[in-house]
Formats: sequence, structure tokens, C-alpha cells
Amino acid sequence: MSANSYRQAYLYIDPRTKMLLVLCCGTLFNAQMGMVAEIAVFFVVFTIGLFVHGVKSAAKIFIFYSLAGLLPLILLHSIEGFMTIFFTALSTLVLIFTPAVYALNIITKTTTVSDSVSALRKMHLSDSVVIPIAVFFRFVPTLKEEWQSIRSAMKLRGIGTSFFNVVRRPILNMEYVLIPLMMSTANIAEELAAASMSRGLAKGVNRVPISEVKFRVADYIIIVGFPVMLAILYSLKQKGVIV
Amino acid sequence: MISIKNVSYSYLSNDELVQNLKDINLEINAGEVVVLCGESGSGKTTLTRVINGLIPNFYEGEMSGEVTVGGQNVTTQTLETTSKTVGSIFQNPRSQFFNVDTTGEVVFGCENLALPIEETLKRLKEVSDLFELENLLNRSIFELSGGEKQRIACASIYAVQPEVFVFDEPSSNLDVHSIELLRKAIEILVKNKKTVVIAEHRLYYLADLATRYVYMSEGKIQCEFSPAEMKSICPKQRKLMGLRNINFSNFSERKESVAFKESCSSKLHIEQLKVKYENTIALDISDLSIPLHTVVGIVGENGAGKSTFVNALVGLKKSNENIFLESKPIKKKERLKKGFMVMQEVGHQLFTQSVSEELKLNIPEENYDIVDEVIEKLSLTKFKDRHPMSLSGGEKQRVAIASAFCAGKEILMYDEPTSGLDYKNMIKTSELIKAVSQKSKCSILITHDLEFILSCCDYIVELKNGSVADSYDLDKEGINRICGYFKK
Repeated sequence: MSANSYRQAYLYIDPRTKMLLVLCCGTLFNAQMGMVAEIAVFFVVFTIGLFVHGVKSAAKIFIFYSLAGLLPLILLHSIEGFMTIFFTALSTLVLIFTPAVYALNIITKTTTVSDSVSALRKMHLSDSVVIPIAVFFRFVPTLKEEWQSIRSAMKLRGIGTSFFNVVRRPILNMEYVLIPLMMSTANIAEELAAASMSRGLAKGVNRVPISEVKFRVADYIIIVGFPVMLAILYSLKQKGVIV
Repeated sequence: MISIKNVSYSYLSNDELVQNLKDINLEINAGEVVVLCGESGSGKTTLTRVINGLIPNFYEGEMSGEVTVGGQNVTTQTLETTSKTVGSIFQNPRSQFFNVDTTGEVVFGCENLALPIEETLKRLKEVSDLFELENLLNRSIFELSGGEKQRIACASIYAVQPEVFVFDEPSSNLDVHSIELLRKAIEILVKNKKTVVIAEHRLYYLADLATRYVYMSEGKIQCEFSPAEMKSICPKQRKLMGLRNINFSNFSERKESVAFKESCSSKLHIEQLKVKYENTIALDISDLSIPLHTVVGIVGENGAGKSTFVNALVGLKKSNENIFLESKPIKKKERLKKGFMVMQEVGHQLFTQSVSEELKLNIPEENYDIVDEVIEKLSLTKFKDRHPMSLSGGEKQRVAIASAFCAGKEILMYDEPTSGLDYKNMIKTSELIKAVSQKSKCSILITHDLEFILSCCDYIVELKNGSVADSYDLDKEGINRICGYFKK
């Protein structure tokens, strides 16, 4: 029985490598990077995700990216007026944000809490930083469950969660979602803390996890290769070789 | 093994000191299975927290007295040290797991003890054999049913090998089948001579395991019973004490046999209701009629399609169907308008700052006089200006039902309205639902609670593998059928 097999499809990479992935995707928020870099970064993350997270989710993200990010770029040449602004905005948002969102998704879906604790500790962070981060990852799926339930409740009350409604009354809509969400997450957080502490989780306790967190070949390739690629793309863009 | 001496505990709530435990003295020997029973707020849960050290080390308040477990003073030592001797299993499976994967969860305690990896893996193998976890390991916690989650919780505590196991209402979110799994897990602990303390409302599944019952009320231990004494308590006294039934066989007492209303020409008729979920058919009902103005109970195991059924009925799920209300077809959009569901997490459906604001939400201003009427009818007058989140569970349910009335909803659904309720609150909820069913067209509830079914349902629909296995009136014969169903 391998303790590393949880949800990692074909390839195991270290949680620290996954964090680096998110950071690298974050460089796209800098407008200086240019479109070629945006698309290149996506394909790197997509390829890694394909091996680490599995074919199904990779396929989903690829279809979304092509339809909402790449297709408008092609269509731009054949349309005029207001729609160009809309399509440009849509495509820019998708190109910039999708890689980072997908990389975050890879972290939360394929990393065990135990592994992220070990990885963060190896980075010599103190426990008062490590434990909250680990708890945050534990919370993502919980938030999703709570959110779905609240959305059903809003539909039953005729409070719209549709795009139109959110745009029309954003503050009010936010309040309706946030009050129940905050109340329930506060409760869950307290219960979770009590449960974890009663099971011996404490600051500075020496844990011995069953799965070993260490860099392997794939990690070194990504850690060296990805930043180098970004640097090259950046300098090419500055020189005006690519857009 | 456990020795509690002169323990009192009070905590600060809204600048008022509330006393939760008064002068508790209790000795529990090794190998005993002690059930703490009593109404909500009697101090059961607080007492478990004193034993596992969460009071005063996590929950703050004023505590006096001394608690020792196996000679160690759990009041003064750190939680980390206590966790080696006392293992705790909590009420809510969604919040007691630190990990997202099952394997990580089972070994979590061992990892925290810094055991050598070989030893941890050995214990993982051991508990996985003992609790039959082969099919549950290496999965996401979020895919498991409530019963499976509690099995993982028991196993993960067992792996640490504590001498004492403390349970805080472990069955409140479980169905009949899952409770049976939980019972088996506790049986394993008993066989291995562990000391077990359980605070619980539902008593029937513990009848063959318990060695002693401790009855609490108002923060005090009122009396203790042996299993034989507990079984001989007459129903009348049991109800006075606010306790749930101890065994299934004397459930058949039902005050009035339902004089069934022959107005059943008015029906909710469902034809060809199909719901697909990721390419598999989750629900397939070819023909079902539900009488109106009655309370209909939906029973079935987890995964039988109960939630899917009510979600589709109320228009929250995509489905193909023909549904007729009083012979008129009623489409999905209209059902969403007419239908309402009182959720298990009732806090999710209260959105505003005060009860009266809540009831006025999203209804046209000319209908505001209905609001006052509903407030009066459901006796919410004294809560009118309170924040909905500050109310108790049962009161929140009442507000949610009131909001449905104000919005003119006619089809009301309830998703396990009595999970975790004690006898008195269960009866209150059942009376509320009965009163409401007279005024609305349709009341449908999902439940795993036989006592509750017998106290308020008129009609039963049994679901199995996504289709209707049986449906019948709850008359004398029906009562036998439903009791038989639960005994299975």
C-alpha cells in the first residue's frame, strides 16, 4: 500500500513543486509577460496536470480554455464594435487566470493534508504558519459543500444567484451568501480545532508522517525548467521578438 | 479508570455565567460501557469534554474539581498528552477530520505521536482488518457516507491505542444502516476491553452494549440505572424523563390510529420521474401518488435516492418527469415557486438580521399583513426582533417554516428534521409539522427516526435503489410494516 497514491493520477510531485507552479502562473498577472507566455504557461501547467491530476479534469480545463480563451482571439478578426471589447476582456481574463486557478486546483485535489504539513515544515516555516495553511486546504472542499447547500436555499427563497442578479444587487447578494456561510464555517472551524487538538496535534510536536516528501526527477525538471522558460519568454517579449 | 470528583463548570454567555455542570461525582471502571443520557442541555456533552480534557484546555470557562483518567490528571495536563489515553469521536463527521484523505486520517494520531513509520503502517494494517476498511482507504473523506465516516473515526482513534473512548452523540447524523455499522464498531471496542463513555439521545442501538446508564438533568447526575433497570422503565416515565425509546419492540404504541381522510381524491401524482447523475440513473419512479394534506414519510438507506427525490420534486434538480398536483400538471419552475425545503443545516437558509425581516424577504409589500399573521400562528412573537442565528435549532426550523408560509409555499419538504433532537424537541417538531400539514397542500419528510415517524406521519414511501419499493397508509397494518422495515 503506497501512502502516496491518494488522487495522484500517474505522477507524484512534491507539494513544494506544486506551490512553485502557482507562483509561476502568478507571474502572468504582470502585463509585461505577453500573450505567447500566457499560452505557453497554460500548456506547461496543463501537461503537468494531465499526469498529476488525471485526464478528466485536464480535458475539462482544456475545453474551457479553448472556448473561452482562444476562440475569442480568433473571432476578434471577424467582428466589430462593442463585441470586440467584450471578447477581448473575456479572453484576457481567461488567459491570465486559468493557469493559476488550475494550478491551485491541482494542489487542493492531489495533496494530502499530511504531505502539505511535511512540505511546509521542510521549508522551515514555523508551526503557527504551517497549521493554518494546512487547515485552509482542508477547508476548500468544505466551503464548496456549504456553498452548494446555501445556493439551493437561496433558490428556494427566490433570491437569485444568477449572473444578472449578482450584477444588479451585488452587495445585498453578497450579504445573503456570506451570513450563513460565515456562521457555518465558524462552527466547523471551532469543531475542527477541538477535534484535531484532542488527537494530539499541537505546535512543535514532532510528527512522523508515513509518506515521505522529497524532490524527485520530475520535480527538478519543473523547478529548473519552468522559471528558465519564463525568463526566456520575458526577455524575448522585451526585445519585441514575440507578442 | 475514570474518576470525576466534585466537578462544576460554568461558562460566560452574553455576560451571564451559565452553569453547565454541578457537583459531578462519577467513577468508571476499566472495561465499562457507560451511556450518558438526558435531555438537550442536560450537560451530557459537557461531561464528555471534561473527560477528554477539552474543558478547560480548549473551551474556556470556570471549572472546579478534579478529573483523572488512568491516574493522570486530564484537567491540568496538555491535550497532547491526554490524547494518548483518551480518544474522542464527535457528533459531526464533517468537522472532525483533519485530513481530506481517509488513509491520512486513520494514521493522523500515530503520526502525531511520532511513532516509527513501520509501527504506524503495522497499526494501519491492524485497524483496517479489524474495522474492515479495505474499500475505504485511499479515498476522499467527502465521498463517504455518514456511517463510513464514523467507522473511519473509530479506526483512527483505535490506531492510537488509547484505553478510554469518549463518544459525543455519534449517531445523530446517521441512518439505520449506518447506526448498525457504528454499533459494530463500538462492539469491537468492547471486545477489546476498552472503556467507553457515550453521550447519546438514541438509546436502542446501545441496549446490548451498555453496562450502566447515567441519567443527567440540569447539569447534575440524577440517577444511575443498570441495563435491566433501564429496560423496565415504563414508557410514561421514560417520556417524563425526556428519553428516547430503548428498544424497537415497544414502539408499536401509537395514540390514535389515523382516521384516514377520504379526501384523497386530491393527490400529488408523479409519473416517470427520472434523474440521471453522471450517466447512471439515480432515480426512476414510474408511478407514485401522494395524498395531500397529510404528512408523508420517505424512508430508505443512504444512497437510495431520498434526497434526489425531494430535490427533484422541489425543482432543484434537473429531471424528466410528469407531475400533477390535483390533476393539474406542475412544471419545474412552478414547483420551485410553490415548493420549499427545510434543510438539515437550517442555518443555511436564514439570510437576514431579524426574524421579522427574514419573513418579509422577497415578498411584495402589500402582503406584509400575512407576515404578522404567520408570526402569531407559529408563536414567533417573542423572537420577532432577534437575529435568526441566535435561536436554537428547533426555533430556527420554525422560522424557516414561517418564511415558507409567508412566501405562499404549498409543498413543504423536510430533510431529517429530528437528527440530534431529544425526545421533547422531537415531539415539538412533530406537532409543528402536523399543524403545518393542515394548512399546506403537501408535507413530505425524509427521516431515519422511527419514533418520529410514528408520532407524525400518515403515509410512508419506501425508496430502494432509486425506485419506490413500497408505499402505504400508516394504519394498524402500516405500523407493523414500518416497524418491520426498521428491524431488518
